Amino acid sequence: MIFVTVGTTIPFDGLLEAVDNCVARSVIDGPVVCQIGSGEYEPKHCEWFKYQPSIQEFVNRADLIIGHGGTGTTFQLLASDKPFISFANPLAAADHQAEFLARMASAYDIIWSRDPGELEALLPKARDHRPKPFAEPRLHDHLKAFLLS
Amino acid sequence: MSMGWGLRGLLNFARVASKALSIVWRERAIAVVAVGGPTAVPFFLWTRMLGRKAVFIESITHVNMLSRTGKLVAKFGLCDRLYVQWPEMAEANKGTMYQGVVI
Repeated sequence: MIFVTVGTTIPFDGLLEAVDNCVARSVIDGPVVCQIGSGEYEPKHCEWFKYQPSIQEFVNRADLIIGHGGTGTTFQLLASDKPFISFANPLAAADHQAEFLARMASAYDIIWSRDPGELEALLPKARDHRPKPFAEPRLHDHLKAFLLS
Repeated sequence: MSMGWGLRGLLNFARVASKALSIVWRERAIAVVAVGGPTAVPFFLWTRMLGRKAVFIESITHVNMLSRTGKLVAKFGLCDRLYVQWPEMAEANKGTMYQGVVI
């Protein structure tokens, strides 16, 4: 199963249309489940839902995940040890998803694009791809020491 | 919080600022830690006046340049610590510090 997630805050109809289009043309075969959030586009060739309290169960069941470039989603996918493709949502303020994904790609070798139209081209590469595990130091101890000083 | 200018913006800022004061006061906050977002600003005005600690943590999505709020907070020295979440951000922005990430 391929799972598609666009997050909850910003619609990302362009990505959902691109996925639906790939399914319609049998570029993607097999079941696809989309989390469509606040978008208006309802996929015609995939199962879909708007929100769930957690998407972890869908991530666990999926063979490949196609996601937006939100930080929560990206870290969740990186931690899942599953192949995934990230797309920067152009509606995000100051194009911050693209900035973030480009940086994550340089450090962790994630597959990403600004253009959902590139989905078809990225699919074969993504299916067997595993990014590097996230390995930045955590701020917590430093922050705690400062707050208690 | 809207950061729009004009009378509406000012009124909105005053409303949020008074709410922020009541929270800082009621909770007897020894520090305010803000993770991005313009709501940090009214809180930091009070921490400054009341002598409490203020920490701003820039969003990890900002890799090259501080956010609008980050720039504002840095320019007016509204916080004691300004953490960024990428090493190169700390190198490029004086007065900021990289000590790891918050996830």
